[in-house]
Amino acid sequence: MRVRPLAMSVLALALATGCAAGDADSPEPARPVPLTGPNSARVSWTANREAAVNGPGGGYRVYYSSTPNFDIGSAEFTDVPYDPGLGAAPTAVIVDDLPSGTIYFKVVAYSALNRPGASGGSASEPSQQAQVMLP
Amino acid sequence: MATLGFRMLGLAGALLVVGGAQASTPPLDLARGLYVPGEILVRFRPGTDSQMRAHVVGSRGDQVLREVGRSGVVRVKLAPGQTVAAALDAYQRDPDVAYVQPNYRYRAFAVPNDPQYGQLWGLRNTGQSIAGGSYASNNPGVAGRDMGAEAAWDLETDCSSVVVAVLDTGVNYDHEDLAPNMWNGLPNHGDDFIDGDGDPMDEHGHGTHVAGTIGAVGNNGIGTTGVCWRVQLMAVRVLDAAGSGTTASIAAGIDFAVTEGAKVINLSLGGPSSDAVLSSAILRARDEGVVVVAAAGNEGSNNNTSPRYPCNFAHDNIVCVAALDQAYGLASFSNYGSTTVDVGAPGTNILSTWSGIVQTFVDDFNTGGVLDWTAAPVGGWAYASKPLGAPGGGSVTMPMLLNPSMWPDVVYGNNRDDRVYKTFDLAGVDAATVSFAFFADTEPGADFFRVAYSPAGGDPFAGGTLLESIDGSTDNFSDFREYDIADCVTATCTIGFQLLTDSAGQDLGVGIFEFGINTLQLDTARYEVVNGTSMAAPHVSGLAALLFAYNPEYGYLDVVESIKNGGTPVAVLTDRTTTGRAANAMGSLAYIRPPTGVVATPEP
Repeated sequence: MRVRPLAMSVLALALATGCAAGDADSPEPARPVPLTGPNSARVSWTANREAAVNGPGGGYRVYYSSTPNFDIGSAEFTDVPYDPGLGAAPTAVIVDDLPSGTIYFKVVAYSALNRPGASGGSASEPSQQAQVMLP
Repeated sequence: MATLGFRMLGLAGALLVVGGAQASTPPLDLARGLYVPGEILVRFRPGTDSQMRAHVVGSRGDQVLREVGRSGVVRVKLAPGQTVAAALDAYQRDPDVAYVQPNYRYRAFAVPNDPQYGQLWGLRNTGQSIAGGSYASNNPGVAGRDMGAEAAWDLETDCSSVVVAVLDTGVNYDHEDLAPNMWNGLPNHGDDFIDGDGDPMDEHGHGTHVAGTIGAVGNNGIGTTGVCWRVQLMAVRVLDAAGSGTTASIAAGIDFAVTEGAKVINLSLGGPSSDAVLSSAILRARDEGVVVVAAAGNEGSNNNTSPRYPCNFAHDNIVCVAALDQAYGLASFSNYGSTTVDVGAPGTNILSTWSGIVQTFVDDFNTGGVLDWTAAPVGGWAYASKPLGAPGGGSVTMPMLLNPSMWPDVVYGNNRDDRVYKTFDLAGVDAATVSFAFFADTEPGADFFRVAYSPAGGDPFAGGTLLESIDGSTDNFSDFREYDIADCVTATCTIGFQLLTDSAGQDLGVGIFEFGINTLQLDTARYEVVNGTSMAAPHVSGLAALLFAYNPEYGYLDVVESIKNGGTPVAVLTDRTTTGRAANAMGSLAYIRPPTGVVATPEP
């Protein structure tokens, strides 16, 4: 899988695969599901207004699957972390190497802030599912 | 316009708590925390220009984030995998570098130095006992059952970007622990929709208590601490000295607050009527992005079946708050509602600022068993000690003022104009109310039980001010009244009752008991411990301000959703609120709304 974040600095790009959300609210790290193909999709969303999403340790995680209404706990994902150069977390990403057919996406926003009694940062509920038909 | 009755939702006060008084205000404590991972600060020697600096940094695979001021210091983002310790060592060896250090994080100590902070269990519950608390159950409560304020204060204590309007009995804006946090948009820090004199000075205390919970100045070495250490408190007086207001006063107050830029409105008040004028004022507030926090009510009842407004309005900018005790049980007096009340918050034994010194003078109508009020004519009103049914069974003997004298065993006479009154010396106080309980049974629309006062002494029904004319029956239950008599603070304040009947129709008459005059002497260093959903709501208003302050992009719905979804689950609230949660400051700050507007398109 290759990922091309949009509107990110070189630095943020370098960090893009190293940042993980995850606490009681967020999913377990995904087991990779074979999803290889020649296609790419651009996923975008409306910026979250939480300062902690658009600050250090914050960002988005974009999950995808060829199964509709998939469970994000077992889906592939790519992270779109806060970009210090942008002063916010980017709100779009290009996901490459997708197979043909319909691909489904859900976006989760995360932060470095801990809910009471939790650690590892907080995460939102997943967004509603978006989909794209790839040739 | 309807003139519906609204009442504040605090319970009667308890003992006064002596205010703290430390003279000096120490500077904000700063604690050295951790340093920012993957970053260092490098000071280059004089003579290196920015191009050279960028070259030194870039040659190591690092990146200049920015130049820090004009000091020749640059903030460097390290290459991935590089540790701060290793980078410090490497940069220190570079001949162009004068010195190098981690980019330390600094933050305010999250524990304020206010001397009475330790009593504020709602902000930090250590299992402490609250001195002077009148709510006996769960005092002390359970450590950790609190709003999580200290964790939130690690992130934000300063809500000074946010105006919070306290629509209440006013605010003592001169209070030692409130004055620096008062909104300064207009003279007197707000407005008055009771007297219309522009001065929202609190003649009761309730509004000052609410204001202190939202934003008593934190870490100033004085008194208590608000949920916000710094904030702009707007005083909007919509309830009188007796704690009563009307649709007209409250709706005007909301419009004022919205127009003057409030982002949060605290409504620690309520009434039983679904009020279209009040409803539309709150909708106008919503249209301007204003969050309205309402108290659920203190009847111990279910708002699903016995609605209380504004709590029960379905508008999405309202958060309705129930009161929790120190163990996070539902307070015995707190209303609740699985579809109408949103969250719980601390509401028993709450210590906060008060507007002055309260004194209550009880009058039992007699001296040595003989009526000591002036009855005109003699023989109309009478004194007797009567057994009354007590709540929960049994009876208590109560000194009572009666008409007819054989109340409640006979009916009153026709064509009566019986008056009774007494003069009290209220000189030197700033505000006063008169209160009493009573049974009444008169012919509706024909015979009247009337209440009046006169600041000039003598018969208050001859030239005084009529407070109310009551008719009909209280149906074997006692009723209660409290009236603002602020213009009766003279040495000759006369309070009087009248039974006025026509030529036909005779009922059981009137029995009055628990008569008292409550005075307030304004004071800038008073604190009190009180109970009520009125005290729970401002914890949430403070949190709303904190959320607006920390998240400058937030709209009203973001704040409301964060409060509702960021709370801590509490078992007793599961079937009694829409969320099952107690408001939690850190939980709300960490809450993130699900992303929206997700679109996927093929990328060529």
